[in-house]
Amino acid sequence: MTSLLELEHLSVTFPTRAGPARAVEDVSLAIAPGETVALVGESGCGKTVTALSVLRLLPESATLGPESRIRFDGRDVLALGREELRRLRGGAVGMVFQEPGASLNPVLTIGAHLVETIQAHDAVDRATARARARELLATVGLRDPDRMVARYPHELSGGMQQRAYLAMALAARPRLLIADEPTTALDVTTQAQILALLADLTGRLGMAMLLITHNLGIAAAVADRVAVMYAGRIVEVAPRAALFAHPAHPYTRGLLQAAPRLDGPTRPTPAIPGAVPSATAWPEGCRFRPRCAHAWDRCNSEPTLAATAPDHTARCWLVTEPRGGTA
Amino acid sequence: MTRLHVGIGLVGGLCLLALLAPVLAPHPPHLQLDLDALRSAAPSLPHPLGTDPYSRDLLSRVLHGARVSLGIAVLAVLVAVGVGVTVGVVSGWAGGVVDVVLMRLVDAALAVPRLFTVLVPLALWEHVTVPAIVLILGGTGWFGMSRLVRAEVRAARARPWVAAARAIGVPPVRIITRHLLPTIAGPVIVVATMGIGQVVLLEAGLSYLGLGVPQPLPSWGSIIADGQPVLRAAPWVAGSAGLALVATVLAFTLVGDGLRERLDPRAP
Repeated sequence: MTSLLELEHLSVTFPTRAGPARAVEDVSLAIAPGETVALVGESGCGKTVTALSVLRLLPESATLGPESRIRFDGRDVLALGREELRRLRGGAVGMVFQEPGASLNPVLTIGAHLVETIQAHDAVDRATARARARELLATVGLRDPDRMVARYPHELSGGMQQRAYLAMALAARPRLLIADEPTTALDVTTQAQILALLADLTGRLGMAMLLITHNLGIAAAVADRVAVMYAGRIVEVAPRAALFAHPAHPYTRGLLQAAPRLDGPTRPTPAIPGAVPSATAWPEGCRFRPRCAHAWDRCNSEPTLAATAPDHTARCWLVTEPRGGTA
Repeated sequence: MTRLHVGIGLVGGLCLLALLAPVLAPHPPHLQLDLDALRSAAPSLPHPLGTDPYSRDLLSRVLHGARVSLGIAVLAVLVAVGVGVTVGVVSGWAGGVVDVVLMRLVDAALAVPRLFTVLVPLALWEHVTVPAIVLILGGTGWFGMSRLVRAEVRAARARPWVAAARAIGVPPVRIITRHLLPTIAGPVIVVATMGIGQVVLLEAGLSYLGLGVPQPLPSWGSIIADGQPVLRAAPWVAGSAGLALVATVLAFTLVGDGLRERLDPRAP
């Protein structure tokens, strides 16, 4: 089956006072129709920049590398005209953000938001749009849609706001949903409900999802495949089960160990030492080398993504030259 | 009672007087009543504000002058708001080269004294008419407004719900009318209100210089000019129009200040 979304050699650079910040470098990732892919990594690793570039929502100062290719449903997103791009946004590709409250205009009702979005993509009259708005609110599990359309964002809880915004993202029946940390601003129980809703919707509507998260637990809960990003690069991609069972990259292993477990004995959570380096000065060679317990001479040059299994790749010399390390 | 209430009362009263001028004025404003007996006559019962050196009834002239002065000011400010908001929205929304070019032009225009930018076209215009004055006052009054609107648009553009609306494919025109204009309406109304007072003053200044409203149409500025030669003998001529002018500028400043307080709780 062909891919719905294809990112190839995506590189994004921002000018900063400290020099160009290479926020994303040579990221290639494909999502099949109906597939849920989680993009996981620490703050500042480039996952949000990757997500925004799919719909060309990056700030004007950002420049894409000349090799960068973004293809959605066979169409070159980078070649789209202004109007085609607007139709793609919220049309075939929906997007939800981290702060549901901030994504809604405080002076417009939920109904007004939905009608606006529906009419942006379909030439329908207000009455039809209103009826569809109520359907959408029901789809995302908001009770009493008739009253919900008249509510203002501040009258809703965080979870309800995220559901309402999700209804907007679904207005034009997208084939791909990009969810950028959709549950980070919510409390844990609401988080679980929204994740269950997302999983349910992708299944029910046959929609693919690119889920951006820093939380491996969330990736484990809903993703078919997981891509781990570190310092602007993808360091490991694998189906969910394989990634959690046999993590190949020391960074992935570190992340898994750093996640507190509820089963098994209580122990101090081992953190990965150090912090993500600055995007203006990535380390030479392997970018994880300064924080890696297994680093050796080989790591002074940068490894490529190498396959450990047919559908499992990792960017580490340990994959291709396992005897060189001390592990 | 706040400043806003006093101001709204004053503005309301002034507008009422201006609208009802034809009913309230005891005489036609340009009618020379009696060139022998009634030149610069002191206030009396038949002429509560006296008469001017051409024996015209001053109350009638000041009332009709309110129509002219307020009418010109309100229309000129509407022109200025229209142009200023358009330029500001285009500049703030487009950004980049468009923004730089437009704002540098505005900077240059702001560097020239307002009186100069108003006087030059007036001097070049052969027969100055009221619509011409409105256009000139409006056309030279939008520079500050466009800068304000541009700054507000840039701030509003950065709000997450605007980014979210863009991400979901809402057309730019709709984002501007639905999400941007309502948020910038407050400051625009405040500045426009204060602007009316300023333009009333400017127009009075022009008419005083004989460059504004053509005679015999009464404008507060030309009434003051009429009273200048007889300032000592008949101070009520210039005084009546002068007081009307002060009251008007005060009224609009009070409303503008009061609105600013209401619309922006952080204002000092």
